[in-house]
Amino acid sequence: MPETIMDQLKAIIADKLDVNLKVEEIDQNVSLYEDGLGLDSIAIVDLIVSIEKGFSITIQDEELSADLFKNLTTLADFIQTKTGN
Amino acid sequence: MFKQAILEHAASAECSGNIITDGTHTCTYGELPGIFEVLDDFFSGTAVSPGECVVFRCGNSLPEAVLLLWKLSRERDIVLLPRGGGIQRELEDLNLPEFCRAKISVNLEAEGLDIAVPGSYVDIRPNSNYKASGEDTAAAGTVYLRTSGSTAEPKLVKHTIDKLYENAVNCVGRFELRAADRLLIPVPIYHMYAFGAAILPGVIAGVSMHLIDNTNIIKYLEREKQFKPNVSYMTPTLIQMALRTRKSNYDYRLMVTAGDRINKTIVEDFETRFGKLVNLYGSTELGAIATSNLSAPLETRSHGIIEPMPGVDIRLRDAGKEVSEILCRHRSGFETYVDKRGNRLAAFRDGWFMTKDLGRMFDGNRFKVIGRTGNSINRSGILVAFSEVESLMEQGVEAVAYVVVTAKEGENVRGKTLLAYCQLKPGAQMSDTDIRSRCFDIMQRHMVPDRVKVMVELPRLPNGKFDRKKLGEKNA
Repeated sequence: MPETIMDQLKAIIADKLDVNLKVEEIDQNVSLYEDGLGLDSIAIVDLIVSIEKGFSITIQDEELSADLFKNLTTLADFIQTKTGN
Repeated sequence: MFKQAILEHAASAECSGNIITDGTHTCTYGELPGIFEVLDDFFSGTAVSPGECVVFRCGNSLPEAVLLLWKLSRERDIVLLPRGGGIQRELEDLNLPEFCRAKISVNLEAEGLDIAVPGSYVDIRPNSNYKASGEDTAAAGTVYLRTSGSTAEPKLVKHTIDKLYENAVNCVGRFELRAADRLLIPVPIYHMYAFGAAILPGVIAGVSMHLIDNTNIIKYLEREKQFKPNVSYMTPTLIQMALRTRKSNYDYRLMVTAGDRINKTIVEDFETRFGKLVNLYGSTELGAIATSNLSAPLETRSHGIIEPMPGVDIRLRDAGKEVSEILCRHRSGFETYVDKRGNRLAAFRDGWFMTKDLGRMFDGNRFKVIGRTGNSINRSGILVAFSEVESLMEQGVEAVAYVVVTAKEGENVRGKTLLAYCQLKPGAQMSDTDIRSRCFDIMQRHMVPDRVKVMVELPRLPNGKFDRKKLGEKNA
């Protein structure tokens, strides 16, 4: 998987979401939720909207699942599939 | 009264198979009486006696909901608090009510958690704050809820279970809840909104209910797909989340929202996609006070005009003014405030409750809420008192001596902008950014100030109090 998708995701989290995390603090294999990176409900929405804009994709409701947002690695794999990269 | 309702539902063909679920654990109304008997036996073997008041930390899980409903059905006194966690819960534990000998919570991580086996999930611990006293605490059938007051000096709202029942019956009638309805509850049940307007009316009507814990849009969509609700309880923040991210529509019979009034265009857009949206106006003290009229046209409902519930009188403090503070007299509201020692505190003025909301009256006793007076705002659907944020920062940020919190017009997705002005302790050094970063550790997300500013010295009035007005003027 290209490194750039993961880099872009980490940059979105660090720069666009108000979650008090620096890029180097973001572990791509931990949960995105309260028990991991600590993204709350509003941050999750901001992330979805930022991903759609940043990668020019549309995430359908049925694609939004807890598994997809399990960690950044699963999210990046999904984005790669959607973008065909 | 709740006991009777549950027994009737358990025995009725219409309701006995209806469920209460959190997505992981499920029980039917038919099973509840048996589960309650098991809880009776369990607690009779503990040091918690039926007549004493306990702290109950509650989130949106089935075990917690079952324990809560058991306590209501047995008319046991409780202080209902959020489950919470981390440093904020530790700070709160230092100020638990002195009239509660024990604190009860549910261990959701317990292996082999079985609703029918309380020993597998009920956690009972002593309250280190407990002091035996003869104050106003031995009153069977009481529920205390927390206000958004100062964490350093909590003020509790005392309700009787009988009046909570009446309050909930109002909601059953106004929302036209029937046994065939399926309620989705993504808002916390320790808070009066979901407690008084969702789960209690749901139990009275015998509906199926799905509780969502720590809601986010992903969980919401997954549970909606699994549970197929026709009624849901929203907040302005959840509504915005839905509009921003959802691609599909869904047909709800009714969606209830509470909190700040929502922009007319948003209401219209939301209703086109998801069904009728009704605004509920209420408070921790009075429960459900008023709602928009379900039968009224969208135009009226989206303007925010609401009608009082049965047994509710409304007036403005200054009758001669167009806009003034809303006063309320509610037949089924709270009894009084108490402090952590159980002492009664002033609650009413000439029998009227001062809501601290500004309003405007319309014909037929209808009214509209314009905004808040005083030092509190609505954030992510939850009332945040400035004093609570100040207290948490003063306690939890080592370098900070004093904090004054203000709000600024011009909203972000959580609500109005929250600003914290800080004066550091002599010799201390800490940046605005570091202070704000620390706030993420010591308070719930919706309370974290949007901006922090360190000042050499906070302005004071001649009487020594901080000059909030002057700081507020800096926000303009």
